[in-house]
Amino acid sequence: MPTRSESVHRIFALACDLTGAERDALLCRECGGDDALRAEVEELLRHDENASFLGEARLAAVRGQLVRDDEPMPGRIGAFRITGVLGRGGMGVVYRAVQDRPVRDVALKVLAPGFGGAEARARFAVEAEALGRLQHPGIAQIFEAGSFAGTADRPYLAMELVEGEPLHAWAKRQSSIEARVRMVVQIAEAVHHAHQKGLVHRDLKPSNVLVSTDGRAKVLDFGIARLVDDDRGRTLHTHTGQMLGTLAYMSPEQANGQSERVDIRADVYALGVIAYELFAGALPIDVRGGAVTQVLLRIVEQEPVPLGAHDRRLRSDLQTIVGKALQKEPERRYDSAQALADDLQRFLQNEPIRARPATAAYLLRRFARRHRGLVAGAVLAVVALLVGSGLAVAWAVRAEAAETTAREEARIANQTTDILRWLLVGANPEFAAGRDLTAREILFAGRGVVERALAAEPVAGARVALIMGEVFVTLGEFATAEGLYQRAYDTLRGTIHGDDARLVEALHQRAWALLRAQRFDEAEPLFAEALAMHRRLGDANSIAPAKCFEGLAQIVSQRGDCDAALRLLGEALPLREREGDPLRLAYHWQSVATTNMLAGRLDAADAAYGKAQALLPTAGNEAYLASLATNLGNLRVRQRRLPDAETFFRQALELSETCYGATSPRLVSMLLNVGTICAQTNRFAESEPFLRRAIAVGGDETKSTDRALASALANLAKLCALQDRLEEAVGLWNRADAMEQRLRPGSPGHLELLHELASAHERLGDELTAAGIRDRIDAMQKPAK
Amino acid sequence: MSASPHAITLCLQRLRSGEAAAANEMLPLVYQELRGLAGHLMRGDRAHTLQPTALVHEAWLKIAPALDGGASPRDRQHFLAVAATAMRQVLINHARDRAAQKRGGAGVARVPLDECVDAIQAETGDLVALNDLLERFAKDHPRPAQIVELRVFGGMLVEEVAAALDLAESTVKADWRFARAWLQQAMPGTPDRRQRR
Repeated sequence: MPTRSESVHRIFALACDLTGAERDALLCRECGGDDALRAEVEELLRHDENASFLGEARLAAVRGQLVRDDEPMPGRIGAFRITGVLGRGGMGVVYRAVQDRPVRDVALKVLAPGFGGAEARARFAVEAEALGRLQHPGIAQIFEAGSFAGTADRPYLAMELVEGEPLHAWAKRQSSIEARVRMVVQIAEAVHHAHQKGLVHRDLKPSNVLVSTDGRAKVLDFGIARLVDDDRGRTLHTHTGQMLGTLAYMSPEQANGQSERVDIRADVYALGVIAYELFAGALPIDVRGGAVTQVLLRIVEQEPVPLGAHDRRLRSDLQTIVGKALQKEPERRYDSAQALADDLQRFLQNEPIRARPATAAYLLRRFARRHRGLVAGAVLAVVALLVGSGLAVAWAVRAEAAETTAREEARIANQTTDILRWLLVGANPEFAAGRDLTAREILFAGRGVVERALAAEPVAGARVALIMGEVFVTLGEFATAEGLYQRAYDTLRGTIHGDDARLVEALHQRAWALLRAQRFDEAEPLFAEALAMHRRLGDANSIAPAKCFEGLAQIVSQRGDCDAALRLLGEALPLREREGDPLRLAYHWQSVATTNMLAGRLDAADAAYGKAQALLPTAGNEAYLASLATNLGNLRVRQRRLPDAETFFRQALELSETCYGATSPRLVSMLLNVGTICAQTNRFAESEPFLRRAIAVGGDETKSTDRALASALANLAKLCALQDRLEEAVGLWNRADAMEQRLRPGSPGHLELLHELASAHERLGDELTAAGIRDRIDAMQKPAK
Repeated sequence: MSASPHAITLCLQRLRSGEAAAANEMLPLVYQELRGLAGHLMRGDRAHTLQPTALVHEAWLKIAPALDGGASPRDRQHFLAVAATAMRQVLINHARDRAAQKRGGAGVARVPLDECVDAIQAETGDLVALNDLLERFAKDHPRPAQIVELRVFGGMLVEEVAAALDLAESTVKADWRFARAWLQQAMPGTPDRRQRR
């Protein structure tokens, strides 16, 4: 419903160009019976006829006061008759001129006075001569260079006068993607010609490309960027003012100030940006907003939003081609502008392109690099797992029908990468806007994508689900991970017949997620099934059995059979050693140490920890070091060296906060450890906040499967009881009881807390409730006897 | 004190890539620049200006050389658009100060900026009154009001306004006519203004 003012405006706009009966008819129609509205419009129309108020002549006079149009333009400079001004900029003025001999129209670029020293001007002349030899229909030719003598010596360049419109303006009128692709091919080929003559443009951007009326592109200012660099060693980086117009098209190595790395591939990158902009109507990296240094950092670090995120039709080949031109590392780009042009040509002719999408592992590595701060530990661990475990190897589908398999594999690889890229880079508009999201936020936003992927492309979707599951495991979201693994397994089972390495993968991954969620009984048969299938497949190179042995070792050690656990670990060791990944080996030794500790062999445990520690550098291994510190803390507790233990526990907490965030459920046990050790050394006040925080980050205790949460409740209860806050203690114990009853009824921890709870009720004078609890204890102990 | 051309060019760069919000950040910078120039005029310090009153233009000439690759006509229009708002403030503040001083009775020497204000007022009528009306008008009609600002306080041509605001010239023309009629109708002292009803 438009407001009255809007109606007045609208009707005025319709009526103001009409006269007489036409205007009358319109007013009748638009105003209906609203006489007041019509009167208002009519009054405005009357005023419209009075031309003197703010009339055009008056405005022209005002303009004269504020803006000057007439620049003093020289009639003639040297051998050039000046006929107009084409543009002005930091470098000087570009005139339209007619040269005396030979008589021809030229664009005369006259550099600002005071530009460079005598030496710079001498070099300018020499290099301009080299530029003059550059002749290609796609490059505006430089006719001559020189220097006008006068009060100030001003260098000039006389260039081919190109009649055309800037690339941006041309693009506005083009609707077809094909025409735009062909345009980029033209530009790239012209640029390639110059590259072959040893010239790098270094400042390619749409305003340096003019399109003539017959649709031919002309690249302007080839080599000028270098020409006007008054010091050979300096790069654009030092010219802040000049840099601004160029930022969006600047390659990461230029943005980084690595002038020694700037070569033709910087032009390939700029061509990539131009192509991206022509295809998607947006820039790959947002250069708006923020200080220049921030923008430069974005160019160096931020992954472009995939082309397909702007327009679904741009997915696949064009996205891959442009993505290759926009790679951060020059080595990963096309090695020539021609190679880019060729791939675009292949796209136009529906031939297979040469560029390959980035691999999943590469994407994850980049992802991790970008999110160093918040999720470094978690994601780096995933990357290590991916790279180290040879996930890719596991997916090298064994030949069923050799030729179809290769094509199928390539197709799946492409799809997987597309999905992952979408998840990691383009899933979230906020992420695209440059906000630093945590991995958690992105991944949760991306879960729906996985479901859609599974429905559309089962095999590629399953692969994504597995990778995502692994990320969720490292984030401590075991239930989510387990669900993803199960979906992956079920989907694969429905698609693949018989045994398959991918099924083995899905099985043991899911078993691990269950294990982490302490659902040992469910995990064990899955490990066994994975091992059996692996044996039937007979793949000697697979690391899968090692993962199964390690999982089973944890399960049996949980049941107290440490010797069996050590034997299982012993089976995994040679596989891990052959694999050669230090992080995995370190985890292995850590397991050996933990198991020895459970068996009470503290010296063997210490020795195994020593091996684990020796394997890895500190940096980048926060997640691993956190678990190591926890275990060392436990060992010190067992050795009755409590102050040392506390140091390790606090270290573990700090490291976990760094890599999982301050509210991760993974912190429960870390907080519990610190809180408990404070309580054990009679620092109750210090202990309490840690325990409370453990309970707070633990999440829904009616659903949580983390026994550390139950322990935190029980320990806090005891702390309250010790301080005579009995009622509070009873409440907490009841909550702990509910958890234990659900997770491990009758466990020693459960029985102990029930005893404490009964005593508390007795102290409160509630003998009846206490007796009821003692009956429960008796009932639980009976079957054990 | 003049604003760093660097900061202004950065804002222009962002405007150029379509970020309208950059205009707000640029405004104080341009305002500062214009006030600096106006200050020179107030002090009669006009030795190296060719045409003393073309303030907006002067400011532009200070900025443009810092823009790489040649300032495009679009850059100039963006600048003019922001400058119009800043100029509006400079002129209105000056006109208000002058009115206050006159009331205070102090004899003030006429300075070139007065000439500028007077020259504009000769064409537009009382600038302060126009400004107040424009503020009222903007509440219901922000776009036509902005067009008035650009044309009157920025001295911009229809085609420049169209380019700066990314509007069709026909839209700018129609909005301009509407705004002109509205302002005229609301201007104190306009005959026949209470005619309706």
